[in-house]
Amino acid sequence: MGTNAYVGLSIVIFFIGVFGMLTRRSAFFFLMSIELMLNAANLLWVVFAKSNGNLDGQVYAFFIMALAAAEACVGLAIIVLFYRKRRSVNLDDAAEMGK
Amino acid sequence: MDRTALENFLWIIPIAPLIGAMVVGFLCALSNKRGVFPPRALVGVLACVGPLASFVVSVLVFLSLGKSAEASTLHQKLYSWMACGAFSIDFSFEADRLTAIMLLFVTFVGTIIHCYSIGYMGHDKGYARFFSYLNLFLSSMLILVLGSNLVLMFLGWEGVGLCSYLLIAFWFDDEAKAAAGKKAFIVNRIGDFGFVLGIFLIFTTLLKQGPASLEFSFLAAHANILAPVALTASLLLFMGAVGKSAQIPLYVWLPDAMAGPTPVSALIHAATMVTAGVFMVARMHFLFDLSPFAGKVVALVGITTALLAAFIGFAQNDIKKILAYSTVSQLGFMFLAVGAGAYGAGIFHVFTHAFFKACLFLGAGSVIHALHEEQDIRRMGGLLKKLPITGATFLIAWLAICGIPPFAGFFSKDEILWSVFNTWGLYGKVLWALGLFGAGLTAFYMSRLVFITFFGKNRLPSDQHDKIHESPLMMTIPLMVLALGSLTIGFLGLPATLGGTNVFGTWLAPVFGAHELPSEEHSMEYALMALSVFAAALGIGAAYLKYLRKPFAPSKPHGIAAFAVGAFFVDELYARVLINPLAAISRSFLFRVIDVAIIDGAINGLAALALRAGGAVRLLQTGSVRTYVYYLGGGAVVLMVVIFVGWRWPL
Amino acid sequence: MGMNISAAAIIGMLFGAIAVAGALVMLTRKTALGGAISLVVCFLAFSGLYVTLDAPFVAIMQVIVYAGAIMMLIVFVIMTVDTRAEALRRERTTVIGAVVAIIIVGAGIAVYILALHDNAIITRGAGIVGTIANIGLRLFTRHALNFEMLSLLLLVALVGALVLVKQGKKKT
Repeated sequence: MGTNAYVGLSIVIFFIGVFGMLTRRSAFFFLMSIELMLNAANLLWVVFAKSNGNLDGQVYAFFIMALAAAEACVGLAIIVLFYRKRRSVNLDDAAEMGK
Repeated sequence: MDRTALENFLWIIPIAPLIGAMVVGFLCALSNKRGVFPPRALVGVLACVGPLASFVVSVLVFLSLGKSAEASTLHQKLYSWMACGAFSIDFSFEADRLTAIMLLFVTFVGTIIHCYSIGYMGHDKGYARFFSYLNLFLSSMLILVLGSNLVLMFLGWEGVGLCSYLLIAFWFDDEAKAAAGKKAFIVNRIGDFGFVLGIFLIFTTLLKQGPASLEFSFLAAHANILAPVALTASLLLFMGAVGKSAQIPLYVWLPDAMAGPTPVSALIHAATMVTAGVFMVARMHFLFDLSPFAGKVVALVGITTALLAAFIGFAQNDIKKILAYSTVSQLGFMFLAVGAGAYGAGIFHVFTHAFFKACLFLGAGSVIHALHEEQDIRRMGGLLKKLPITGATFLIAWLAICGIPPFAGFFSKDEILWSVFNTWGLYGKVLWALGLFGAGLTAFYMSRLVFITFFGKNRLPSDQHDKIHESPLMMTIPLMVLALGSLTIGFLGLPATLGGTNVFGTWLAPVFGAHELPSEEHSMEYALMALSVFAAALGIGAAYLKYLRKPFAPSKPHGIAAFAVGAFFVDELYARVLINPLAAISRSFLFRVIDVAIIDGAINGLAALALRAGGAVRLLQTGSVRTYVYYLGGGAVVLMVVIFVGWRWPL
Repeated sequence: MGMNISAAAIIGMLFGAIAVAGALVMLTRKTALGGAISLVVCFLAFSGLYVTLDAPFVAIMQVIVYAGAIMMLIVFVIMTVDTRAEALRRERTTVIGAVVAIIIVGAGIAVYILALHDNAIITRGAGIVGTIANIGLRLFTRHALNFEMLSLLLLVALVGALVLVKQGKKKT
């Protein structure tokens, strides 16, 4: 498959993630959409690593994975805290001003 | 010591009194905090050390220049003050023969007056502050004299103006005295405006022809470049001199300046600061030489001021005010000389005037001190018996200022008149005649002062009269020294016609270039000398007839005298025409419109704008995570578009 | 794409389709758990994609870290949290929100298509395969500092999460 196709695929998945981030109200879906976006970016790294014949891209893909793990960890901790306070994981309940 | 070694010590001359000022000032500040006064003796010694050191070095400088080649100078550069592009100003001192003369008498008279002040200000609670200011003044004056470029001279110029203000308004609790100080400063400022414009004009003219500097040596060498603007530049610079040296129309501050302590009047407003204007013209002689018309203007202003001040002087009743107007008048004579190109004669009169006028002022101070702050001469009289030393020295200085040979004033005044007579043809002769008239007037009003104050019957109540006693040695010794000077210094300028060699003039000649005077016509010169002595005698005689022959009874002045008592109401004229309208404009337009409406409005408007902008931005913070996520996504897309555009259509 | 579609290409397209499907399914789930499981499927498909791209190490890591660790963590937390009330509530998606979302997505895709038009994406031949050995070599020489910092980052995240969630001693 040509590089263009892979990049196209990455874009599609990325924007599915964006759409999910903007639309779904549950904190879990929010987080999972973010993971989707990160994966799409990862895919791009690997694609261009192959395209340029350079392994550094794959190394960086690996780094991003580790990073995503750390980020998911902390994000989930926040969700747990949030749930303890409000007994809900709906992001709309997180608003503290006005409304 | 040899020349180059001496050059390294030039800085002592202005800096020693500066250090004195700082040390005494520091002591003063310290004591103010604790409410304790520093010991008078210590302050007195500290204060006099600086001027004395300056005097010693000045003497060395004078001797060194006397031995060297005629046009040589001593030069010391302290540091480079400003340097930007083609323009640089150094903080450097240069001493040529003219400077040496100025340094000599400024430091000498300065030191003497410092010593005198120890006695005079002995009971004043601002004792330390006084000496601090006085030292600061001396330092500024010496910077003015020693400065090797126009800017440094201007620095000293401003410095002496500041110190003049500080010292005139020394007893600032009295509102009138404080106002006098302010008046001096403000009127000076008007003159300084012209001075600065002159400097700018000179500089821009020079700059058109390549890199320029404001060093006097540079200016003198490139004087021909300045020829087209010489008239304007010299008149502008002269405006500064008019302010500083109290000529028409900016003389009004000097009589009011008598509100300051008498030593201040003696030092600043007689011997040194007011002569700075004459010095400046002499320094810039190459510029004034380029424009004969400017010289005529200077001479005209000088003689007019001399006459006007003399008229005002003989209707005044305050001893210090009479002396003040006398100073203005004598300054007029000095400008008459330098206007005619006789710079040597003008500086000679500066030199002699310093001695006899300081002596007169210090003597007046002694009288005031003895009579417990009485200054009105109508209440004095017959003081010669009670104050013998003061009286004797005062009389010597009086004869000097009247121009009676062999006292100093005769030689200097006569040289001025002789120079003016021989310059410019008819104009010169007219000015000479006016000068002669002025000399006669000088003799008249000074004699009036002397006769009313020291002779005749005493007009104080007898119990007060008995308590009068001579001033302490600390005050009378300076008087004696200065009187001796007034007696002898004239011989330095003994002209050829009387068998002398005019040491003073020939010593200074290399600086100015020779001012050619006909030297064969001795008979003419004798005649003029005789005429001036006759005029002086006439003045003294008239005063004798009016004031001593019959017992003096203060009478209401009428006619011109009434006008003169009020100083021809010049101050009132200025107030009516200049000051009040200016104040009105300031209050109504400048304040209400520009300050309140425009400036305040702009600032407040800016603040209101910031508030409103903040209020608008605040609306972005909705607190709802949803909107924040929208912002995130939107921002990411914008970034993407920007990168894409930058990639596709690179700059 | 020409008429010669190799086997690798078919496998690539297959995995790609599964990935997209998984993502779309995740979006439309009502329960968080359902979303998580579909996402796992998506990630596994990604792993397959990496294999076709000569990156076996990354593929393995994708399974172990992403599908294995991260998703498992998410599932754990989902289980901890009571989402029943969540599922009952209908989510209000405002009109504006949908519009904004569509605009953003549309803009992004438009940019891609425009970029495509230029044919600026080049394809070079197959290079080195990203085996564990090769990656390891790169990782510990050229990117050694990054690696160390990454481990530090993980430590920070670990401690941070612990500190965040820690509860004081309950007074009982």
